[in-house]
Amino acid sequence: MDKEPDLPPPIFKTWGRFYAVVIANTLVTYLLLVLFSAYAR
Amino acid sequence: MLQPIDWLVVVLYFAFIVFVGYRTGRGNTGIEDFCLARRSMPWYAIGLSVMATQASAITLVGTTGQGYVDGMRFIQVYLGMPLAIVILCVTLVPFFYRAKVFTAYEFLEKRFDGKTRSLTSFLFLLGRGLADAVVIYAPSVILAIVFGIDEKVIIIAIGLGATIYTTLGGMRAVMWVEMWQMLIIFIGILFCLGSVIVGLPDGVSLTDAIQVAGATGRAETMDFNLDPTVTYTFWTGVCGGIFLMLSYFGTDQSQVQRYLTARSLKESRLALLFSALVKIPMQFVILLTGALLFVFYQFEKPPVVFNPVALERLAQARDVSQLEADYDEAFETRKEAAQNFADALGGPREDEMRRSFLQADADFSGVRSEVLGLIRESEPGFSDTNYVFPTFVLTKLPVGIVGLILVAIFAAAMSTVESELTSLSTATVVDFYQRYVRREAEDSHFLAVSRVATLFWGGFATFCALYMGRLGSAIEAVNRIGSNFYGPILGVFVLAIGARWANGHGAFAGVLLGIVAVQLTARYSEISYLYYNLVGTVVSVVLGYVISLFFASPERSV
Repeated sequence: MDKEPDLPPPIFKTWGRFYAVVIANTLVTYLLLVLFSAYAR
Repeated sequence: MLQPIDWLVVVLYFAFIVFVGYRTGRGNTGIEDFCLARRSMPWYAIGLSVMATQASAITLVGTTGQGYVDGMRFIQVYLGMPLAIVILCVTLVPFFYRAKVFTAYEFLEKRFDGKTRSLTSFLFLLGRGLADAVVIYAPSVILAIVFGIDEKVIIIAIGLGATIYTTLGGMRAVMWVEMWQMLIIFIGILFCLGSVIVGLPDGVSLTDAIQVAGATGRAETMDFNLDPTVTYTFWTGVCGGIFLMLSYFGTDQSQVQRYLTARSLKESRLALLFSALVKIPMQFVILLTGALLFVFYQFEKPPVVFNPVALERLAQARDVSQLEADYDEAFETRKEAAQNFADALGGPREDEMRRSFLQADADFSGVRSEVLGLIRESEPGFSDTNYVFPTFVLTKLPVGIVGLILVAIFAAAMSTVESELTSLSTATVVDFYQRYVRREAEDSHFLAVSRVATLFWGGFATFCALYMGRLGSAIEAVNRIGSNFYGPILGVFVLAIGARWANGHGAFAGVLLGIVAVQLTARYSEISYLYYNLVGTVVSVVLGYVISLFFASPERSV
């Protein structure tokens, strides 16, 4: 059995919120890459 | 040649790694200790270990070279990774964790049957066993040529070095060592980027350099081209990349075993999400280093070809003095054009200077291509991409830093090798020895067998790497085929957790038909290789499910 309960870090409250933050972060990363390309072109 | 201080850094690295391996790997009493660190690891060690496993020496050396030669578009391979990790955290990771398995394939026996487990594990052993030799051999050849060290010494240092402390310390030692190795790799990457930026001439700022690289297309990180035959685009990275990463992180024992060592499901998830968040920025820094190296070599003359041995062979075979004179002239013209372009950025003559710079760069590349073409007459497929970064390190970086970067390359190679060794030995012992040879025995017996298996795989990989020159094409062929297994294997896992009516016969046939489909796709179509895992997964799921319908309902359930 788990040695501790299956909860995310307290700031996220639920795993769903944590995943949403990771996905949002990924989308921001995509946007930054697009902006980088546009800047350097 | 390396200076004594650089050698000292290398020796200190090996001493430190052995010390960490010895300290953390003591007290293994059974197979769960040896293979899974008694499921006691914290998320940060697992996260760094996951990253270290993925980052081989060729990732470090080849990716910077890729940035130099082709630009930063390669980063798109990783676009699907964070999304794939989230999918895995929701689906497979909890299943693996709660099933308390040692290998990903063990889970398939709980769900389907022994033959499906054995087939998938065998395919893993086949693919990874030979890939391990490539992981040792590929950087050894490059380091031998560039740094002037005997190739066999490097192969033995990487191969046997990793084998010894993996055999003695097991998974716990490997993971703590990998954590430090990954930190060394991070430091090495940042030092490289900093060194290239500092090496830019006065008057050329970082933003100027990015724009000079961008003028040649090397700073292009996103391509929204819908053509599936273009290898690196946003769509291949997201659609194909998700399946590539799902296959790698969800079904490859070398990765699954890392997060099975977590002390809780929460720590497994945190480790994977941590690596997902860090991966794209890390690859960005590595590729940016390569793209900036291209700018650096606008102002410092690069060798005509970055592999000095190939160049020397060409010079012995024919007179290249005229080509060298043309090269020198083309470099001086391009240097002046690059400086003019950098000076004109943001001014009224920017477009004019851009055009003359691009023309000068095309002329310069034309001379280089001519030389590469001559080398390819006797060495078809020759490329010097992997030699760009080590050449820069040896010729342009100060004493001591050269040793640090060399250590980072060693760390990258060894971290991948030791991960492969732990996973190969675990799959051998748990999926085959315990399954077919001896089911019941003292824990100490399985611990001893695991050590023997680690020693065997380490010796096998080192031996193959030592004779790679002779065995090269055969190993490469098997390795290439091995990389096509992962999509179909992912398909079996999708059937296992998502298709209630799927059974062992369907899953077994689905894997085999998926492999055939990937082979046919690779042979007869021109779509990007990033889509192969998607094809393999879809074929294996669809056909596996259909075939299951012809047999009885599920034999077992989780």
